[in-house]
Amino acid sequence: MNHAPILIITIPLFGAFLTHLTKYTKIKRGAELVAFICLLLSLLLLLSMGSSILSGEKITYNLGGWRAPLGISLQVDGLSFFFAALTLGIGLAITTYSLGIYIFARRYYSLLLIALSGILGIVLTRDIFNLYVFFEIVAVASYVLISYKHKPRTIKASFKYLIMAESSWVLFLLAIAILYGLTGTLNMDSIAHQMPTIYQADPKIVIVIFSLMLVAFGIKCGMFPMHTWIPEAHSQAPTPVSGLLSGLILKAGLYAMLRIFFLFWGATLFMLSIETVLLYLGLATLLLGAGMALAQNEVKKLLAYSSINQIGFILVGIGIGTELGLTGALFHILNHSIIKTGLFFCAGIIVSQTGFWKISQLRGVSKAMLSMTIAFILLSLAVIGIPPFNGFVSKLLIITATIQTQKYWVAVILFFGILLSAAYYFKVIQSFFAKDEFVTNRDFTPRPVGRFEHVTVYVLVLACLVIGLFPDLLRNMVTLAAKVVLQ
Amino acid sequence: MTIINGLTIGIITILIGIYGILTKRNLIKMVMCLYIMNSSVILFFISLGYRSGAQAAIVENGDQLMVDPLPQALMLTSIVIGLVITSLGLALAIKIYKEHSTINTKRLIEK
Amino acid sequence: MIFQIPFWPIDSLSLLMAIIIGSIAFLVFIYSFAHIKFKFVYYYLALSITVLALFGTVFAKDLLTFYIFLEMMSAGTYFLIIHNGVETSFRAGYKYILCMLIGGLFVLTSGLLLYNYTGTFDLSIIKQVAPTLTSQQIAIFFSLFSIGCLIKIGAVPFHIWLPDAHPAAPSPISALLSGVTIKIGAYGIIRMLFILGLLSWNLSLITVGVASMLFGVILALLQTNLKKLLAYHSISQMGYILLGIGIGSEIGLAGGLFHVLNHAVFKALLFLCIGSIIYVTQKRELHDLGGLGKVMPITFITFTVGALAIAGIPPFNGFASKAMLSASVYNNLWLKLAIIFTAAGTFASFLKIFRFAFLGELPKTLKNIKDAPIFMLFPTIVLAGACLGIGIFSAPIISTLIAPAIKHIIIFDFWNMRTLIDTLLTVFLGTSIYILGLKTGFLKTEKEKQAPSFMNYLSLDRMCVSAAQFINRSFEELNRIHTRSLNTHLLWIFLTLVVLIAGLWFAWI
Repeated sequence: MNHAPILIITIPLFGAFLTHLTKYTKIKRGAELVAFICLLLSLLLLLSMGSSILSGEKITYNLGGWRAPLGISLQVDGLSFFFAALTLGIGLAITTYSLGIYIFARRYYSLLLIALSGILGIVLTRDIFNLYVFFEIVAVASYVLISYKHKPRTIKASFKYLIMAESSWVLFLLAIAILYGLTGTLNMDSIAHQMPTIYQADPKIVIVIFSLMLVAFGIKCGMFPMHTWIPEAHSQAPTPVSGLLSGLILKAGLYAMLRIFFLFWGATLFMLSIETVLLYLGLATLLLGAGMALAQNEVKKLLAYSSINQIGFILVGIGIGTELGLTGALFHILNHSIIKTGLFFCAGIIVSQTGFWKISQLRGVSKAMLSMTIAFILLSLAVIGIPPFNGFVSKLLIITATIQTQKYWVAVILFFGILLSAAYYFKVIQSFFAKDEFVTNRDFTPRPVGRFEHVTVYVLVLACLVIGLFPDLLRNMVTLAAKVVLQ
Repeated sequence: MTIINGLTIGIITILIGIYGILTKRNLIKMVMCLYIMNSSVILFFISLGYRSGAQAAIVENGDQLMVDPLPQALMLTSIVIGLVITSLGLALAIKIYKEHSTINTKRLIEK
Repeated sequence: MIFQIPFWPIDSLSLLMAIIIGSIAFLVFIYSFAHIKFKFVYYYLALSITVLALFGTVFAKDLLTFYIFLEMMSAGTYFLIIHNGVETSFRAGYKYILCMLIGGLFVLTSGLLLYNYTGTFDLSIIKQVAPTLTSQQIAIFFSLFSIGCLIKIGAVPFHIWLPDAHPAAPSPISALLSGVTIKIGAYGIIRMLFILGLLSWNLSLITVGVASMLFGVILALLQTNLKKLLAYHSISQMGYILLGIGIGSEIGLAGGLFHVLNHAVFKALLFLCIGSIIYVTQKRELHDLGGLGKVMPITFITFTVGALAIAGIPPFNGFASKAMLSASVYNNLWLKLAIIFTAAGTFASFLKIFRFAFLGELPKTLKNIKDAPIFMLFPTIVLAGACLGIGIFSAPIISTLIAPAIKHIIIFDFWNMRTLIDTLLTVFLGTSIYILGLKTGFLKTEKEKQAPSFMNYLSLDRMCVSAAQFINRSFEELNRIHTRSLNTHLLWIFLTLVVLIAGLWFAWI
């Protein structure tokens, strides 16, 4: 039996405990080394399954040898592979970026590894209770990571995230309980198998389950009325953690939506018009995120609202529900992870170097930090969707899907969202180039931009450009994932 | 089957928890309400596996009526998670009190 | 979906555009060596990307590629416009990039609709299947596409970005913008007319064209800022091109296309000359200048050539294309009048520049200035030569460049009584407008503080800006009232749950 699926999750988890033990060795930067090696090993294991996954196979692993309805099973299919690859890729970027900032911070790397292995668990498991537990692992790790620096505002943001996320996550447990009461199983495939009979017997209970789950996943991915934790948590967290939150933790919520909604209600989806709900909520998310971003005067808050804006785009893509729309949404998940992680890194460097976080204070910063300004500009062009960057490709796919399904008014709102995102990003860009004499904060001793930060940011920029120029490289993986969703 | 069972009590207490978390401005009370919500869902879940007159799921001598053991096993995990969340929440509340010298949500907005 | 980027096998229309782009861009590069003083890497990188994207747009084989390069061009030009780093250029650039994105999204929508109808973006396939499309589909597609292109052109009523962007950009970039970039929209419309086989009398294009001509020239007469004056002339000259395209006859189309070439040459020349003046004197308002003819003789001569060309005076190139355009509307009195009036107004506004910039008395502060450096003079001399050369050899140029592009043989007699009468009429009318304008104070040279008048409220620019400001303000208000209370946020979560359950419950019943 191929043990790769479980090893992908457990290697980083094991590494998380190992980082603390490096205290007793003579290796200089043991924690970083362990984190890096564990993620790399996981990635290699994942890629070793790559060729068979991309040919359409599904690799199932039963924990302890117990078969599906009784035991917990892990499954690697196109969608899981896509998200796992994304998680490990961005995770490696975050680790590399952290190398220059958090030196000898064993606790930090340990928490980072726990969070990443939790996300890997989320995307690989087929057991719905297991999903719940893995989400909680990620959540606990991220609460601690957000408040890692014990500043007054970070603790408040972390507490807010905790209360909001947990109070809605209880609802997910309730949904699991109802599902278990109805079906007597926790395996997703078995539940999906029984879902049509449940729906025929009592559609109302299905409505309740769906609503509970939508609220729970909605808060994880920052859907419209539940978005309020995002701006504070993202802007207050340490820079690499902002990248983690925006790049991966929001995406884990989207993964759960894609997996569970389409698996459970794929057949009955149109009767309940679940897609329409997602579409409307997506549009509301998009407009609110874009509009609020326009009104922000802090760089990191603007980026946080921009995340909400882009999540709205993805939700619209999911809400359209055709294969093209889902391909676009999945592609945008990938692109947004890369771009937004890069943007948070750039903004983090600029903010921490200068000690200013308001846009008006950062006027003319291009003179002081040219390379970071260039990276910021390229990444923001990518997120607006200006060719030849990657954001363009995924937005094009989503818009094409709306036009193909003849939802022209949705396309108009999407265009408005793009224009608003251009409006707020160009606002930042032009203030970076202002001619005002840029005065650095005298109380703050600037630290030179480390090579690790530089390398990470430019690798991400390069990835944007390469994916934008040659989107066919990833076409197989993304379309396969979309097909898996629609099965 | 009476109307007063684990399921109804679970639902009622979860509503109490929601009421508390929406109205209380004290951070510690909010964490308490969170824990109430969590516990009531646990009660709800365990009650699903309850069969009247059944025994604990320890197989001694062949055929006997047993309660469903799976919810109990799962809820052990859930209790642990609830504990972790509660302790983390309380720790953060203490930290907030140290930094802001208040744990009232309304006053915290202004800080 | 297709992701690859295919290119045309170069045809004559693309070739003509590529020649224009290549030559103007080359001269702009040369001019920039002397004119640009700071941020070299930034400037030349953005300029290279823009020029590359310009070539891409004219060689694009499918609509998606056309759109991709259009957006690249807009983004590149944006960074060139804000090169100065002053507040006015930021404002102009902001307006420019938002307008360009709106235009681009129109083009994209039209392309995606066409993809929906035909299943392809490829223009050569679309050309084959175009007869199978219904007239409604073609109308929707073509109107969306041409609105996108008209925004890129800056034709009335989509001109709001143009009078800001041209003056704010560095002078070589104004030349590139006016000479080449806005032509891409015209190229797109001509190309699409050929593809869809819509070459006939097109009233909406003619209306837009005439409106641009008249509006542009009237506002140009009122300007006192040199670059703004030229910017408004760009609008009116693009009106000529649209008029020619809209008429749709061979002569009209050839005239329009020839005017694309000629306008690129003489407008680039004029902007570069004005750029030299601004470079030397650091002033751009008419009332600050005067007597420059004596101290800047070469610029004076080249500017004269350009001004005569734009006014349509023989033997310069503007004359040739305008003669063709006015021949194509010969049977329509109103269009004829519009052409004559626009030419006269153009003549009058250049008389104004001559009087107040080149003749008259040299201000004391400008006593010891010299003509511009050689790198800046060379492109203007080349362009002035081109104005004269194209004007004299217009017949062979039409038969080698323009005729293959529209796939028709054009034989046109430039020198007959009619064209000469037109010219004389233009000069006469222009001079009288100038004299009348000076007497009545209509032609101002000093910028006045504009009191908010009724006309101001009718201004399209003002309307668009206020709409944008309204959106911005309303979101700021939303941000202000957006609660920060944790309890309220939690309430939203549970309200969402209740609303979802209730909504779906009733929707199901």
